[in-house]
Amino acid sequence: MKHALELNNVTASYGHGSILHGIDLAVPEGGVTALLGANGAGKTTTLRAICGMIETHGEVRLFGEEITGKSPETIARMGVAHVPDGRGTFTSLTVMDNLRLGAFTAKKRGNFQRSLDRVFDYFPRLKERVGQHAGTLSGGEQQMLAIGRALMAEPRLILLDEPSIGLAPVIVKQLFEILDQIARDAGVSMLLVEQNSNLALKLASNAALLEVGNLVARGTAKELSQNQEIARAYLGDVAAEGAGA
Amino acid sequence: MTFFLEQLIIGLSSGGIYAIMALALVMIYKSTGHVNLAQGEMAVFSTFIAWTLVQMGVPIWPAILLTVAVSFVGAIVLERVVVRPFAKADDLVVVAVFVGLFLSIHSLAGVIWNYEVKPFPSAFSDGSISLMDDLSIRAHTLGSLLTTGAVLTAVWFFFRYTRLGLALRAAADNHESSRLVGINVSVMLALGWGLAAGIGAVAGVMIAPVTFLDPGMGLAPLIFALAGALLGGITSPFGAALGGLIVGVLEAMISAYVPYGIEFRELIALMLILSVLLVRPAGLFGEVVTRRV
Repeated sequence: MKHALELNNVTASYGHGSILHGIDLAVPEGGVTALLGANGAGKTTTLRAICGMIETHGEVRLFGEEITGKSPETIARMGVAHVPDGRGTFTSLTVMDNLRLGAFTAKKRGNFQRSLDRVFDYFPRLKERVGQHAGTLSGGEQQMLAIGRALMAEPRLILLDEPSIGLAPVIVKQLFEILDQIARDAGVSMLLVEQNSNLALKLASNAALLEVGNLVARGTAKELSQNQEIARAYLGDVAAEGAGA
Repeated sequence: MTFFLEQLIIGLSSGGIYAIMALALVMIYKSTGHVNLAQGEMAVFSTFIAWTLVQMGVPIWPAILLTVAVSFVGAIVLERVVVRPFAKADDLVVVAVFVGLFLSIHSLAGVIWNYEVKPFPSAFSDGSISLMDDLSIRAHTLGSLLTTGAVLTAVWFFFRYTRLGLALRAAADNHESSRLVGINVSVMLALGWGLAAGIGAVAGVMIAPVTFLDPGMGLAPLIFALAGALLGGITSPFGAALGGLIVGVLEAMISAYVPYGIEFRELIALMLILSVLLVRPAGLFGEVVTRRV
């Protein structure tokens, strides 16, 4: 199977503290891979290592090409769109300017209008708010904008960092339906970091589990959701708890 | 009425200079969070370069254009060598760096060109232009107003409608997100310094024919530009430029209408601005950022 992304023995650290202790991870081309784990397990750090935001050792390959140690802007130009922790919208700029910036690296400029139409199809709310400053949007709208901006880049790989965080359950449900749609339509590969494992495993085809900087399990989403230990620890599954006792 | 109009035009003319200086301050402030205290001294240094070129026989307009280009490149070097190493330092350290830069550039100008006050040629004719029967304005006053107006328009157009302008605005808003969409923030920061210095050079060559040229020339315009930026809102380029114009007009009106105003104009102008800031700390057009969570 061809991989969109491969991590081999990747270590990463902030200053003196090592966060990732040599992880191996593969994201197959097309579809969604979920990266699960508790708070502080290193999920966000893994994404930051992939997109070059922190010092990283080991080997990171994007569609076979090594990108370890490249700058974030170079990696972005190679087709990785990162929807970061906290959404990272340009709050003092308008929704339209945010989307324009998403397309900053897009290869063919003629595709701008098509990408824009597609983003507005997924998120009609953004179309109503094109002239508004991103900082005045609601949390859900900001998350839509962050994802819309990622799509504008016509990426090969999207990294999503906790898209559900801070949003009302009904908004989260809508958002994940749209993510599912995007994954089906666009043929883009996604690596999704989520604390809400139930939600992530429903969307994902593959999954991996991080525990304090080490990858402790991986497989298809189905395998992971049926693993009783994982179910007990991360899915809050009452049935699994009963079975394990 | 004619007298009032005359004062208004004079005020707008010096206000235009404060406006573009304020704009330069805002550009650096928005992308780094710091006020470049050396902005005025950099402008003076640029003006000395123009003066030298003119002494060498270069005609004034080519001398100005060349000076803007040299200032642009010089500021990029300055940013790389002096300012960039302190990008992650504490605020007070950065203030110290800027004060150091202020003193160094000031002294360097003194060493190279000495402290003697020099006349600086106007880029416009020496005469006056008659606007109405009994209203004639110095050509330099009008020319300076048009020039700063053109600079403001060009800068607005650049930031609003070009891809590079958008990238600069993005880099000023959020460094990390800019890198994630593929913008080279490091280049944008350097470019911001270059643009600010180029604008400052224009301000310098417009003000020097009025105030004459010496190494201390930059301080008053810097204070007025900063006052304008704070009045209009240091987070808002539009507000800062408008604030600069308002300060210029205030200065002219106070000099003309208030007894002993010429001596007290700086004090009165600054007190008015302080009063505004007491009521609206973010300035007239500054963003009191409204964010929903």
